[in-house]
Amino acid sequence: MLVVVLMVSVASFALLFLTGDPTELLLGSAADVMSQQQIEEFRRARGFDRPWLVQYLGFLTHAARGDFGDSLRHHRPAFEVIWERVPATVQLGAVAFALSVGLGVPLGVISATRRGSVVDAGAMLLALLGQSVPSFWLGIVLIMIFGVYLHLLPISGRGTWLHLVLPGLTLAAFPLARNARLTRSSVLEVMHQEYVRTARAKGVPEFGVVYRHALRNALIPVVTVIGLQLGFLLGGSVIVETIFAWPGVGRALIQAIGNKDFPVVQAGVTMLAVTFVAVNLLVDLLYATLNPRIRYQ
Amino acid sequence: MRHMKRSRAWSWLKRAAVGLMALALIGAPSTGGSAAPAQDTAVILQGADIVTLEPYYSQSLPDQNAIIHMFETLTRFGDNLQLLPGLAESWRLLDARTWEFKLVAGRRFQNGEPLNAAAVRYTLLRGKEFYEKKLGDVQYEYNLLDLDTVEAIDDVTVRVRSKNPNPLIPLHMAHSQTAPMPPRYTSQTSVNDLQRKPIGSGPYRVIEFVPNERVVLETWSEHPNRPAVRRLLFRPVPEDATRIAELTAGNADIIVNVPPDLIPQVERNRSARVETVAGLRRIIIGLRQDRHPALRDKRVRQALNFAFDCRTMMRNLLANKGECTGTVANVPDQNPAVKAYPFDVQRAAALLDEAGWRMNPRTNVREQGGRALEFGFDCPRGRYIKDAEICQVIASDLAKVGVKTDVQVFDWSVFVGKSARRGAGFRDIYLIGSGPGFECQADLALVQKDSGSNRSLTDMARFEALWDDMSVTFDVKKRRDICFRMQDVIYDEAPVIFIWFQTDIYGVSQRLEWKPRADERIRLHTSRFR
Repeated sequence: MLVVVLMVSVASFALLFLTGDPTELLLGSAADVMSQQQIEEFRRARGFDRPWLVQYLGFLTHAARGDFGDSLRHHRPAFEVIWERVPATVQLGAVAFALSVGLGVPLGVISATRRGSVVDAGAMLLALLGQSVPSFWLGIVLIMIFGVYLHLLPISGRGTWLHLVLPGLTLAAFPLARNARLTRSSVLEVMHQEYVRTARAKGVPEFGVVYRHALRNALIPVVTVIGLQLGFLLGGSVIVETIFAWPGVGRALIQAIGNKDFPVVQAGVTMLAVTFVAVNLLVDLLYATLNPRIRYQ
Repeated sequence: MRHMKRSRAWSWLKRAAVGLMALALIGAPSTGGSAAPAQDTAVILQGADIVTLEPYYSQSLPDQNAIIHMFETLTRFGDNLQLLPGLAESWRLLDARTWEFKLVAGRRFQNGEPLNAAAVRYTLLRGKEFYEKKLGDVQYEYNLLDLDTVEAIDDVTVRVRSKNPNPLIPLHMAHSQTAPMPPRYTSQTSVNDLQRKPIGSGPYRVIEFVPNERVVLETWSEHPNRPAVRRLLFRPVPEDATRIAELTAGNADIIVNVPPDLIPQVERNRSARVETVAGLRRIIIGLRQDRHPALRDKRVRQALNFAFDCRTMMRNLLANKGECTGTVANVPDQNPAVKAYPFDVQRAAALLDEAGWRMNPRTNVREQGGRALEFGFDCPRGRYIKDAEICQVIASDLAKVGVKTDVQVFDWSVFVGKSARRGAGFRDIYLIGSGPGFECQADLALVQKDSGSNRSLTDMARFEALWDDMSVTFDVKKRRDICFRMQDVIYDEAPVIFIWFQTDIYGVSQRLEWKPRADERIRLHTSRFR
């Protein structure tokens, strides 16, 4: 985990140097009205005149304290700009996660227990669409139907509970479909196990066979994938946040890239990467809890 | 036992789902939203967040559109961009470096502090201090302002002295970064609070600032010219299609940047209309004169202009929402005699032949001494209307007269880095848009040899002589005459491929009376609901 975080810090630091002189990059057209002396002062003030290694170590030490410098556009700490967006991203991610699990898992179970039926075909068609339709297209279609034609739901922004519905559904579409398909194949696999046959032989009702015996065993691989989705939902909502004007971290990152606000980009990228790594670690630990046969040395 | 262990997965899943729903519930505010706007509230949807309401910390357009309702300036631009009195009822030139402004007597800030010469002096010197200490975002404006001293002669008289002769000081006094701020409140309030709760003298005051979500302004009851629209709600909606959906659903009154190809979608809706205005942003192809030798030859530069079929592009790509041009000066300083280059392939070919660039029939590319007439062509994507597409059209037109281009399209964040240091990162030719200078000389700096915005390193002797003349001319009529002659020279020298003044396209609800302005500012001071 430490190695990954260190590599992310290198990548984040290197962002400024990808297109050459970082002073040039940060000043942009403002440099046109500055004298060479003013430009050099800016370079010194930012420490860009120091050797790379020294600059990187300085970046690392400050980043560890959450100090990525001041945002060039907001004129306040870059980390603060990102951090104030976290609640919105977590809120949207939580709804999408709940939808993807709450609808995806039952859909997969129903589909598995009615294998080959119209219900199974319909559910799997929905899952296929959910995984193949791009989120920007789905988002616009939902906006047109529920916002413009039916006037049922708000189109954009953050406010009431209703504001969560369209972006939540859009963001949930892909993981929901994946959960449904994974649950279906996992349940189908365990339904052929001997303990399921035994349960049936004991006269356990079909509902009990599916939900008490089959599903609990089928869920272990599903839980692993679901855990990893958390990282995706926190970091992968850039498009959805942009379409629905949701004031989250993803949108802040896009705006910061557009504004060349590199301190904010560095803060955002580092925070998302660390979150992703932390979630992965958590899932690994949780997996051992769920399946006691797994032990970490 | 084994059964119990296996059940942990199910139990964890249930707990996680309940926990997450609870988390989302707690985080969801109970009010607000994007339903149909209140009768007395105009909803303005912009492409980006309002980051600050403190004028000295921002030049960004979304911020400025809120700021101009809360702050007033000594002078101001009218709807046709003519310079009008603002907080100053008159102004005059005392000597080449000193301008005197007479303020309207008896005005106050929204917190009751007097708006007098001392307040103007405090504010301008604060801006100068910001410039010198590199605070805020005033570098561009205060560099041009070239401020030396500010004197408060009496309560209503203020003298502004620049370091060098500066005929444009009254124009700079229309910029929000010279807008007076109340000295006591400004000096005693933290930067953070000033950015969210500034006090101005304008007809609106801020009543709600939710970062990244919305800004609400309400009319200030004591303003001498109270606007008819009581509340303004600004919201950021970055996606074009979403803004249009909000407008057509009746949730917005003004939306910015309607793409030309989506205009019919707005026009089909009975409750909305499209408003367009020829903006002040000059879109050109810069022709670098320090790289490919062909671009140092006037005949080649003229040929490139003749070869570009601007009108067809305007019709097919830009929905006829603009006009081709042959100048880089904005209204009201445009020379009416200067028209766009006509599309004339024969003339372009003849000029290129005359310049010694002969067509190689085998490659269909012109050559001279074994060197091909081939240019590296850098383009941004997503910064200007149809920017990358315009580049492709021009590349295709140039190819028809034997001029080969290697078009590379860059994201704006990368492209803008190339434009720094007078375009040091650009290859031979590049598409760029340049904002207005609000006065002829400032506009024409785009091609002046010492100007930072001259990224092609253009140096035209005839133009420079006129420029020097203009720099020491204060008489308005004489300046206009010189300005027109400079445009004649620019047309003839063709230092750029002229394209158009980017048209600003807005979607507007039918219930709101509002007309767009060429300076991209959304002003609702005189708007009303029908």
